[in-house]
Formats: sequence, C-alpha cells, structure tokens
Amino acid sequence: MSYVELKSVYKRYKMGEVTITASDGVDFEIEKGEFAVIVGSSGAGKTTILNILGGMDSCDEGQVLVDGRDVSCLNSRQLAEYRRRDIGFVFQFYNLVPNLTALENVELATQICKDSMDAAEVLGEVGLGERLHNFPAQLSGGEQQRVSIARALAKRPKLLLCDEPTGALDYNTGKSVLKLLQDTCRQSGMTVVLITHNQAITPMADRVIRMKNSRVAEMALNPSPTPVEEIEW
Amino acid sequence: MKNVLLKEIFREIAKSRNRFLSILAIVAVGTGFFAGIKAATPDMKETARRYFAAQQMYDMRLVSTYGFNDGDLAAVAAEEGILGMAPVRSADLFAVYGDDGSMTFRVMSLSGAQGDDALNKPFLVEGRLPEKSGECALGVADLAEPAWEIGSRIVLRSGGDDPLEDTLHIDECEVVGYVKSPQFFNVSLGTTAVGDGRLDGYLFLLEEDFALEVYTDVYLTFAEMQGVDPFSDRYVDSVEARTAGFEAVGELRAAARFDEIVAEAEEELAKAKRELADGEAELADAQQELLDAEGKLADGWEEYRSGRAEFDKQIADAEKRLDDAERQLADGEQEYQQGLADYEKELAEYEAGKADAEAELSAYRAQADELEAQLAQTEQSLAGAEQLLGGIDAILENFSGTSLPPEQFPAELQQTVDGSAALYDGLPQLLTAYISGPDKAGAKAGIEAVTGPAAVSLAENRALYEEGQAGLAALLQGIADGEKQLADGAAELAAAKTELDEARLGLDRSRTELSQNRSAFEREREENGRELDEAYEELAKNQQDYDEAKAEFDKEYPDATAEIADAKAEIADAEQELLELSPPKWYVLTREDDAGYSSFAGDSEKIDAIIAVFPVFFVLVAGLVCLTAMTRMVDEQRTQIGTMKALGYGRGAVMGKYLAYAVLASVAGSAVGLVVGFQLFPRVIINAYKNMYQMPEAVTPFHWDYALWCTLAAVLCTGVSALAACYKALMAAPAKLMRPRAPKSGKRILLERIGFIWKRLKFTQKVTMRNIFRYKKRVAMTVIGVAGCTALMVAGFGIYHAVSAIGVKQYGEIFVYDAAASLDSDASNSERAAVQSFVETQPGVAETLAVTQKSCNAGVSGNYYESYVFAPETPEALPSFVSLRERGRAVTLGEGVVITEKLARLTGLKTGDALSIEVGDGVYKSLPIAGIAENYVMHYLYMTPGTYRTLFGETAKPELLLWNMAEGADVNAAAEAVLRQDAVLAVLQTEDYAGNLDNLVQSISMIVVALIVSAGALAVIVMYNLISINVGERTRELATIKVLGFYDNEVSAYICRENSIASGVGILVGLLLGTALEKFVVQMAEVDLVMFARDLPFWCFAFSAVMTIIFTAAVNGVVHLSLKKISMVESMKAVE
Repeated sequence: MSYVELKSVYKRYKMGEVTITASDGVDFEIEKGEFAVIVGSSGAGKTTILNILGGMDSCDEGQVLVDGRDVSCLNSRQLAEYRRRDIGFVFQFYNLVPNLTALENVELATQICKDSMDAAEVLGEVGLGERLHNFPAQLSGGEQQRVSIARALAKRPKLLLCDEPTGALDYNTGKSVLKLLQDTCRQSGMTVVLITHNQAITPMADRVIRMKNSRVAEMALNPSPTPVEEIEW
Repeated sequence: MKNVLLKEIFREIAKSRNRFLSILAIVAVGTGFFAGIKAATPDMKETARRYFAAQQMYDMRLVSTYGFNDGDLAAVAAEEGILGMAPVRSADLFAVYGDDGSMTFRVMSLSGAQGDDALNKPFLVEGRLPEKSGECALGVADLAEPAWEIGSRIVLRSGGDDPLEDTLHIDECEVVGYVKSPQFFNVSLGTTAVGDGRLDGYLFLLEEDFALEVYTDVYLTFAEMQGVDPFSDRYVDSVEARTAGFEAVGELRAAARFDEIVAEAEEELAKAKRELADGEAELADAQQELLDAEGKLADGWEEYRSGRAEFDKQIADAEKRLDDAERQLADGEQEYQQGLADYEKELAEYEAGKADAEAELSAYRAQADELEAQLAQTEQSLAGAEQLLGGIDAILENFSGTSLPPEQFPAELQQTVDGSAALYDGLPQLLTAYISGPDKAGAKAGIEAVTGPAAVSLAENRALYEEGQAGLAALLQGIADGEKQLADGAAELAAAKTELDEARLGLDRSRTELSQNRSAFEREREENGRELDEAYEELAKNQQDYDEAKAEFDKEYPDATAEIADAKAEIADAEQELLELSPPKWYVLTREDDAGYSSFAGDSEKIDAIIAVFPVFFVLVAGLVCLTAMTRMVDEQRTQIGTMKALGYGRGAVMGKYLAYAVLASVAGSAVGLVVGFQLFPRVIINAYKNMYQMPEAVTPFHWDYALWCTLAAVLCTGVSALAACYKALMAAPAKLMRPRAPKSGKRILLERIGFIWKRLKFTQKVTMRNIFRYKKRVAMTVIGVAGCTALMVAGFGIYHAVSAIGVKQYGEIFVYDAAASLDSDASNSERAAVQSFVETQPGVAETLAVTQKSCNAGVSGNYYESYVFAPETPEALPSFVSLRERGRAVTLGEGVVITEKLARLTGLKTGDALSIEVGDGVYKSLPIAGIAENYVMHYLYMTPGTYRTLFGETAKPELLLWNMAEGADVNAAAEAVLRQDAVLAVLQTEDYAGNLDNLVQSISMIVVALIVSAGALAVIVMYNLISINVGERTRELATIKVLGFYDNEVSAYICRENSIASGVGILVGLLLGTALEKFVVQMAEVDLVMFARDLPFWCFAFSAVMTIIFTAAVNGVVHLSLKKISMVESMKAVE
C-alpha cells in the first residue's frame, strides 16, 4: 500500500448548464519520503488535485487514501483536523498574515498543533534565524516563502504540499527554495508533493506525474533525482 | 461610449447587490426614521384637526347656572357670525349594573347633532344612532366592565336628590350603537358632581326622552373659524375675542331669567310649607296612637297579672289541700298500717293465747262441769239431805206431837224415812221411831244427834256447796269471763279487723278520690294555665308589636323631628336663599377650557421633544456606513479605476460611476424609507396616544417638504461619501492604481512596549490586539455604532423611568394622602368644621387634615411662576399626608417657606434666599426659603398658617380637606359620601392622578420599545456591515488559517473577538453617552410645571448593556455562519 493513493477521483463543477470536469478519473500513488512533482499546463487539473489532497476540497467520486486513511469521506471538522495535523501547505503567494512577524506567523501554525517543532528553530533551519521579528512587509519574496515553508514544516506534517512555490520568485531565489524543499525531503524523510507547470524541474523529483486534460497522462519514477543546483532552466 | 458606462453601472449594481442593498437599507432606515418621526406630531395634530372638523366640534360652549330656556336661545341666536347652534340637554346620572354596581354617565340629547349642519356629531363606530325613544348610543370609553353589548339595556338612576323623572322620561335604554364624541377626546372623561366625582362614560338619547325643562348647554360654531387650525394662535385668539359678546348676552338674559325663577321658587316654597304642616300633623297623630296603645297594653298587663296571681293562689291552695289530703292519706295509711300491724300482732297474740286460753278454758270448763256436776251432785245430795232434813224436820215437826205408825206412813214419808238412811243408817229407824213413837224425845234426840251434825254438815256442805257454787259461779264466771274475754278479744279483733277493713276501704276510697282530685286539679290547672299562657302570649305579642312600633317611632322620631326641624330650617334657608338668590350666570367656554382637549397639544409637544433627538443618531450612522461601503467599493475597484484612467477616461467619468451608484442607492433608499416611515412611525406614535386620547383613524399624509429635504440630505450624504472615497484614488497615477495595493505594513503597537502585559497575553489575544490597532478606523466605527445603540437604549429607558417615576414618586411617596375634598370657598368655618367631622366619621377614614391652598405667583423679579401656597392647619400632621423631603432628608415646616425643586431650579434660588410672592395685585412680599422639597408636578409653597397670615394679612381659610384611609379600606365609598355634602365641590383621589399619568407613561413606554428595536437594528446593521467589510478584506487571511487547520469556531473567534472587544468598549462609551443624552432629552421634554425624575437607576444601564451584548452575539452568530462558507481555494487566488 502506498503512502498516498488516489483512485478514480472525479471532481466536477456545475455552473448553470455547463459542467466543468476538473478531475476526470485521476489515479496515482506516492510512496513515503518521495519527492513527487505534478506537472501540467494551466488548466490541467493540478491545483484541483492538490486541493483535494490537502483536504481543502472534496471529490465527487473516488478514493483518496493518505497513510491508509480515506480522506474523501471526512466531514468538515475532520478535514480541519486532517489539515491541522497531517498537511503542511506552501502557497504560491506565501499567504503570510501581514500583521504578524515571521516568528509569529510560524507560531500561528505551531500553536494549534500538539506535536510541533519550535518556531524559532524551524525558522533557523530555513535560514531566517536573524529575521524572526520582521513583518512580511520587511521581508523579500524569497524570505517570505521561506517563512511559509517553515510554517508548513513546523507542524511535522505527513505530507508537504507545495503549490507553485517558486511561481512568484526569481530564478535564483526559486532554486534556493527548491533546494530547501529537496533537503527537507531527504533529511527528514518528508513526503513532498509539488505542483508546477515548469517541466524543467521534474528531474529533481523521485516521481513525476504528468497531468493533461484533468487526468494523469503519465506517471514515471526517477531512480536518480538530480540535485537542484545542477538543474538549469 | 457613455452607453457602456451606464451598462457597467447597472451591472455593477447587480453584481454587488449586497452592498447596494445595504446602502439602500441604511439610507431607508435613516430617512424613514427621521422623516417619520418628524412627521409624527404634525400627523397627530392633523388627525385631530380633521376629526374635529369632520365632527363639527364646537368652537364655543355656553353653560348657565340655571340652564337655557327659549328666551335665552333666541338671545344667543341673535348674535352675528354664528354658523351652527346646538342647544343640548344633558345630565349626569348613574348607570346601574350587577347587584349594586353603578357608574357615573353623562347622558346627552342628540338634538343638535344630527343632520348635515349638526354640531359635535358623534362618530359612529358600530351599530347606528338612536332613532326612537328608549334607544341610546353608548360612548366608547375604557369601560373594563360591564361591557354593554349592542342590544343590551342600561338602567339609569338619579345621581342626586332629584328623582329621575325630573330628568328623563325613561329609566332604561337599549344600546343600538357605539360612538365616539369629539367632546370626550381625552380618555379620562372629566369630573362630575355626582358619585365619586369621576365620569365613567357617556351616552346619547333622543331629545324626546328628556324631561328637563331647560337646555343645559348651548354649543356654537362660527363661520370665521371654519378651516382655521384649532391649534394655532389665530384660532385661540379669535375665539377669545368673541367670548365678551356672549358674556354680555348672558348678563341681559340673567336678569330676565332671575325674575322668572324667583316667582317659581316662591310658589314652591308655599307648597313646601303646606307639606311641612301636613308632616307635623302626621307625626303628632302617630305619637297619640302610640300613647293610646300604651295605655291599653298597660291595662291588659294589669289584668293578666291579677288573673295570674289569683290563679296561682288557687293553685297553691288546691295544691295545699291536695297535699294535706295526701298527707292525711299518708297518715291514715300509716295509721292503718300501724293498726294493721297491731291487729296482726294482737291477732297473733290472741291466736297464740287463744289456744292456751281455750285449753285453759276447756280445762276450766271441764272443771266447771265437773264442779257443776259435783255441785249438782252435791246439790242433789244437799237437796236430798235438805229434803231429808227437811223431811226430817218436817217429821219432827209434824210428828212432834203426833205419831203415826210406820205403816201409815205416806209414801213420801216413807221415802223420806227411807231416805234418811242416807244420813244415817239408823235414822230411818229413828224416824220411824219418832213418828211412831213413843219416845219422841229420845228419837228426836237421836235424830237430832244425827240431824244436828247432819244439819251442820249440811250447812257446812251447803256452805261448801254454796262456796262451791260460788266457786263454780266464780269459775263459771271466770270461764264466762275468760270466754267473754276471748269472745271480747275475738270480737275486738273482729271489730278491729272490721275497723281496719273499713279504714282500708276508706283509705282506698280516699286515695282514689285524691288522685281523681289531683287529676282534676291538674287538668284544671293546665287548662287555666294554658288560658293564662295564651293570654300572656297575646299580651306579649301585642307588647312586642307595640315595642317595635315604639322603637321604630323612637328611632324615627328624632329623625322625623330632625327632618321636620330640617324642613323648617330648609324652608327658612330657602326663604333666606331666595332673599339671597343671585341671578343666573352664564359661562362662556372655549375648547381650551376643556382639560382633556387642552392637554392634547401639550402632550403632543412633549412627546415630540422626546423623540426628536433620536433620528439624528440614525442619520449619523447612515452616513458612516455609506462612507465605509463606498470606500470599500472604490478600494476593491482600484485596478479598474486605474485601467479606466489608463484608457483615457477623465476623472469626472470615473467619479460619475460611483456617484451614480451612490445617488441611485440613496434615492431608492430614501424613497422606500419615506414611504414606509411616513406611514409607520406616525401610526406607532398615534397608537401610543390611544392610551390617552380617543384618536380617530390616523391620518398620515406624505409630507413632500420633509421628503424633499430628507432625500436631498441622503443623496448629499452618500454622494459626499462616494466622492471622498474616490478622491484619493482619482488623484493617484493610473499605474499605481493598477498595481496591487501594498498590504498595510504591520506595526508594533503601543501595547507591545508594555512588556509585562504583552508577555502575558495568549497568542490569539496578541493577534486580536494587533488587528484592533491595525484597523483603527473600522474599530472606531464599530465603537461609535454600538455606543450609539447603547446610548439610545439608555436614554430610552431613562426617559421611561423619568416619566414613570413621576407618578410613583409624586403620588406614592410625596403626596401620601388618599383623597382630597375641595370645599366651597363661600363655606363658613362651621360648615368647614362640619365637613371635616363628617369625613372623620366615615368608615375607614383614619385621619384628616385641613389645608389652605391658594394659587399665586412666586419667584424672583421678572421670573414668576404660578404656584400653590399650601398651608396645613396642623403642620405637625403634615408628614402623613405630604412628605416633604430634600435629598432624602425630611423637611419640617417652620419659619419661612419651603418651595418645590422645580421652582428652585427655574428661579435659581437656594435655601436662605428670599422668594418674592405676589400677595395681591401688584403687591409683593418676600419670604426666606427654609428648604427645598422634592416634587415633580406643579410648584408648591409650603408654609405654616402663621406664616400665611403674615403674608396675606388674613387668617388661613382651609378649602382643601385631605384625608387618609385605614389599611385596606375602600376610598370610593367615602369619596361618594363626602361628595354628597353640600359644602364639598369636588373630591379627587390621588390614585386618579396617578392613573392619568399612567396613561402617559404607557404611551411613552410603547415609544421606548420602538426605540429599542430601532437601536438594536442600528447596532446590528452597523456591526454586520463593518464585519462584512472586515471579512471581505481579509478573506485571504481567513482562508489561509483555515488551510492551516483552524477549526470553524476558531476562525470565527479570530474575527469576532475584535468585534466583541469593540462592542464592549462601545457599550461603555454608550453608557456614558446615554447618560448625557438622557439628561438632555429630559430637560428638553420637561415643561415648566413638571420635573421629571432626575435619577438614572441602575437597571437602565444594565438592560441597555445586556441588550447590546445580545445584539452583538447575534451578529457574531451570523458572521460565524458566513465564515464557514469561505472556501479555502480563495487563498490560492492570485493577489489581484
């Protein structure tokens, strides 16, 4: 049994007479500790899958098994709990609370989680040990993303989901963020699922899932992932 | 081009429906409130105005002390300018219900009030007007019970001493309809001289049912007053101007009527005198009858008594006799018993002895027999011996000389000789010898030798025999005695027995006789006794009858004599009165003289003042909300604005969109608000008035002037908000607009620097504090909105308390007396004293106090107010009637004057200052102020009678009599009794005053309720609006924390905590604000004569706070539901 398993997942949006199928029978698995990348062009359905995986949305058909538990049939409170304990999310636009310092932003996550890491420590690990008391407005994009990552990691989640984490960042900053993610995956054995439309990143992944037209077009395993520093795009 | 813009505007409205509607709603609420409330008083007055006009209410009312006859009416009609004239007959009577319940009704004739040019037309509510005799239309009044239904009958009774027939031809009437009369506009119908002084209801009858000879009122309307606003000065003045004319007519007519009346009176007086004489005669007759009866009765008793005495004596005698007989009988019986006993004893003895005696006797008898026999023998022998001897002797003798030979012996001789052998054998021989003889001597000797002893022995034996015979005789005698004794004894016994038997018989006979006698006696006694008893009973009954008659007579005698005396006095009085009779007086009254009517204007102004302040709040809040909404709107559309500018549209075009949006929203809102407000609020207020006045259907016209101003204001408000919001955006360069707005940088807040507090706060609390200081404007608006809401509620509750407490305090704590009688000012001291003692003797009255109450002007130079001088006869008794207190401490009357609080406020005087009092025309005196008493209605100057005398130069003449009832006693009965006293003009109970005030209070409380609802709506709208904006701005943040795993209630708390804190601060501010607001409104609404309660009790604050908290909680609840709907996918969206 894989750590993460999606079986025949369908998601449809009804808008009047029009039905848009965001996920049209998606099947894939991800093993524990893998760095998985889901690629696809805009509108391929990647974000939908991430939302479903992250407990932020529900599917209309199918099963979503995370660590043996089917999250597709949980009620909203159970989903909140799921999100609280098992998921760490990294947003494309960081989504930090502008009114809180970096430290406080991470504390926002740790205070609702019993088994969390120390906020300051995590920030130190992502390289922001000196910037604990700065507000997001006082941080650069990359630093903000790091805070976001720290926030996600501090919860000790089962899954780390990243939605285009480098989408708003420049080339170098993006690379360093990816490196951070890769290192985290390797060093702490966290399962990371990353969504992107950038094909060039795929070599760094252990597993590449290509989506097209709302379904998995191809799922490939990469026995020897490339370190991020070596990837150029 | 502009076309697309227009399209865009409408699409925008459709898309952001919520915002549009919320602006519309708040404008509607604001304008509706403002305009509606402003229109309330005018509408109310208009309603009244139209009602009075439609019912042709009188402009002038004439009343005469003697009523109006045809001559009077003609004189009135001759005046010019009269449009309508309606003479009316009316009377105050009792309407009876149940066993002995009665209400005081004013019964009026319908004469002048029918047809098109009728006056004071009653407004038909249900049913129809009376069409024939015996029918009546009942005035709709607040009759809790009984409720006379249409078709039921009302029984009428005279209200005073005059019989009902003097007033009406009928004594009951059938209700055919309900009406409202414009004359009885106020719910409290006024005072009357009948019953307990309060008028309970009214009804209309046809004129033909009235037996009154004169008209009691004449109502007039004037042509020039038609269409003039009765509440305007012009109306009041022109009516006033006409009164003089009618007063003049009155004086002329007065003289004429007077003469008529005097003539009538004299006739009646003569009649009365005749009646009196009759009455006196009757009394004398009655007296005489009683005396006669008494005499007869005395005789009867005498007879009876003697009869009884005799009877008793006879009875006693007879009884005695019977008793004697009984005793005798008893004695006899006893004797008999004794005798019987004796007899028995003797019998026994006798019997006992008899046997012995018999035995003895038989022995004796035997003895006797024996003896007898013996004797007989002896006799025989004796006889023989004698014979012998005799014979011997004979022989001797015979043969003394002769002899005979034996052979010649006769037989007898031989016998004798032979027989002599018995004596001696030898005798015969001898004898023979003798006889024969020779030897006679010797033979004789020998014979004599024998016969001698034999004779001796014979003599002895004969003596013995004689003894023996004697003895036998004695024995026989003894036996005979004994036998005789026995026989005697037996005879005695027998005799005794016979006697006893006879006695027994006798006794029995006597006994029977006695019992017969006794029963005869009993019977007779009973009979006679019964006879006597009957006689007694009859006598007793007659006595009783007599006693009753006498008692009644005695009872009524003093009354009768008193009555006669009264009648005499009355006649004397009447004669005196006639001498003193004054000509009739006409009173010319206008509508203003009717207390119920004139208070209307005052009341409406009072309420107007109270409610005037409130709409201002709503307007302010409406402004705030509009500003926020427009700001947000512009904010959201920055990029769009930037793009438009980039495209080349000028500022005007861009602004135009938002202006158009705002104007459309406000115009629409205004329209809705006005339409609803003009209908709703005046109706609510007028409804509130229904407690106090019999309002007709509310008239709520659309006030175009208000509407115009309000809409203008609303448009201006929103327009300016829109412009203000746009301005900054329009000034900026397009590029800047199109870039996403830099998120507001987080800042350290002041609180952070206070280390020890900051460290203690929980994380979420820190977030909340930061948020509060970050969104200062929004938080401030929440605070203001909530504060406004709380303040409104505090003011509302406070005003309710201020007004309602007046009644409680004034008539419960300050005027503690139960009722007051106002006496005729012409009454003499003795009449006054009589009334006072009368009141004191009423059942249930505990104490009384006479008070001089005089109205005069008091104050300081230039500032005079009508006040009442209040001088109690016995100042020490005052505290149980009126409680004078200053800030809780009691004030005692002494030197100087104690004035009431409001007066002190108005004149600015304090204790120790001098109060100037107008004691006569233009004459002023001053008195030092000894104290200031708490008081809420009217101004009073409390002083001792001594001070009064010093002030006015004359002794106080008490015209007011206060009295207190004992616990639980009914004041109505006493009030009714007191009112019937001649010298008493009116009786007022304090609970009536309190009741009137109650009506006002109830009206106000309805308004307060409406106020609270609106305040709540206000708070809710403000809070909801601001929270929506808050949530809208931070959707991303909220979605993020949802993703982070915050539970729904934690997410809600994130937002609502800020709201709650702002609300809390708002409540505190609101409580302060409300206190100020309440004081302000109270002062505005206060009339000179009234002081509202000044304190704000705790419950006002508590209620307001609690209700605001409830509203806040409600809003939080709604927000919670909407937060649940935020989708986390939002958080993924790009920053736009």
